[in-house]
Amino acid sequence: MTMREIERRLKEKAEHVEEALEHEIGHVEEMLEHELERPTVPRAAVAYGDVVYWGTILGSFITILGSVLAFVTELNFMEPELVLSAIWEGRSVDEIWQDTVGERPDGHWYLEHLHRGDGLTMAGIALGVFVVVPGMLVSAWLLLRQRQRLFAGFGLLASGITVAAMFA
Amino acid sequence: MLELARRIPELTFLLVAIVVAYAAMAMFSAVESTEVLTAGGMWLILAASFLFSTLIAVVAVLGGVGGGVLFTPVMLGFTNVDTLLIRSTGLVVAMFSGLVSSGPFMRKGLADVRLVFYCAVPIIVGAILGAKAAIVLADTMGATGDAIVRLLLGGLLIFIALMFVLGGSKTEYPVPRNLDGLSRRLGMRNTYWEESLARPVTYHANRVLPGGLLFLAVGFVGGFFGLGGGWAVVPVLNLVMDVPLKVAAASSGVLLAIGNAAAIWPYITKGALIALFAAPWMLGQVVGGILGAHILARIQAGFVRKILIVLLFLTSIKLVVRGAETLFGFDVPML
Repeated sequence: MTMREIERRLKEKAEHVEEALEHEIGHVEEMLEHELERPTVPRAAVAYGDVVYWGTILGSFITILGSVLAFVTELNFMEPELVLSAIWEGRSVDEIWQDTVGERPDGHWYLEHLHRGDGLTMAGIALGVFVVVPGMLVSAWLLLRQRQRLFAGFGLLASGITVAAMFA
Repeated sequence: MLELARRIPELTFLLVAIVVAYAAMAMFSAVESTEVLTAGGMWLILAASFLFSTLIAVVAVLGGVGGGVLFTPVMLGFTNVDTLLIRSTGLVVAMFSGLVSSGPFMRKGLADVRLVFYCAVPIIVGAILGAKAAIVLADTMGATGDAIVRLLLGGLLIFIALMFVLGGSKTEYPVPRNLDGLSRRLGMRNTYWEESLARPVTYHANRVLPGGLLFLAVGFVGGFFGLGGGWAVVPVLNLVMDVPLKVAAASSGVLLAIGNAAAIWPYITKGALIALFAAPWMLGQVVGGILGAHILARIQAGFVRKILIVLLFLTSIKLVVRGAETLFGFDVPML
């Protein structure tokens, strides 16, 4: 192999490396460009998601604790064996309450029975359901600060109707 | 699986707590057997409910519907459990996978908070009216009311299954041709990062007034039957309001959780939601909702959708037959 051939081959290789590098740099630049274009998620959305997510997880742990209490102790508002048997038999909601407690409740009965297994279980489920209200309120407040008054209003209205449904 | 446990420690804690709880309930049970069920049978019902609920949540997330669409018809069609109790528990099933998925969807910017708040108002109003109507129907019409619910739900399921079969017209990135005046004034324009395209996608919600009215109807049907409304929310957002499919699917879960959270209160305060029966269903939805959201990318959703369609058709037949049997007094021995 002559010196000229070696020189030519080296030059060719250097050109290939240069091309490959340029391609890679272009790719990285493109990625960075897109990264810069990645839209920021509104704080109102993140706050809503976080409040609801962690509230649901907390509600789940309370429900687990309540279920265990209901099954391994006799601290219950409604006797679990009677309730589950009545449900299995296909008895109506009215009959289930009549057979166990005497009458169907009207309101948030579980709040007076938080020390009992079924009361605590119901409270855990209710907490999981309720968390959308503080989630919407926090999110609406953040939307208000971003001068998104109309959508903050929708959030407040939605949370207001939900609270009204809790006490209707 | 280990990677998932490392990434979501709260899921691991939750799973461990559930396993320990059910083991404790089996070993130290203070519940006595009755003429109807043994103590072991009661435990088995609760444990099976949790497993079935987890499965429903995973299938529902992969199929893009709320869990209520599977739970309520299957329970109404194949068990003797009271219809009001099934429908109230159905709302728990429909909402809890949506609640836990709100966090990841909102953090990723896939769910649009302004769109969700706009649509939440009509869906909540509809859902509360539907729940109230369900309680009134159960209190006034008894067995006839149950039969009517089964018959109507059977018909609705056939419609939903057909919608899935013919649902090929959904567009991933709809472009609004004529933005109406109200939509322009509300300015519901948003941008999200589309991972599959590695670029941002901008959209503008259109036809917000008809969309809002449709959500009122969806809320009523979901609240009345205890179905949730996942089967209808995505099509309304995508086909009517020109919202991209991915944003529609993510916003749908968040929206359903809000709508059902309002609809469930009348059931809770009137004692139509029994805590011990609903608890395993709620826990299964939380666990399955997190699992489903994370395995969604790795599984072919098309296959799950086919299973869902077959299940919906079979359940609808059973529901129509059971409803017709009670209402018209005949018997179909094969079903």
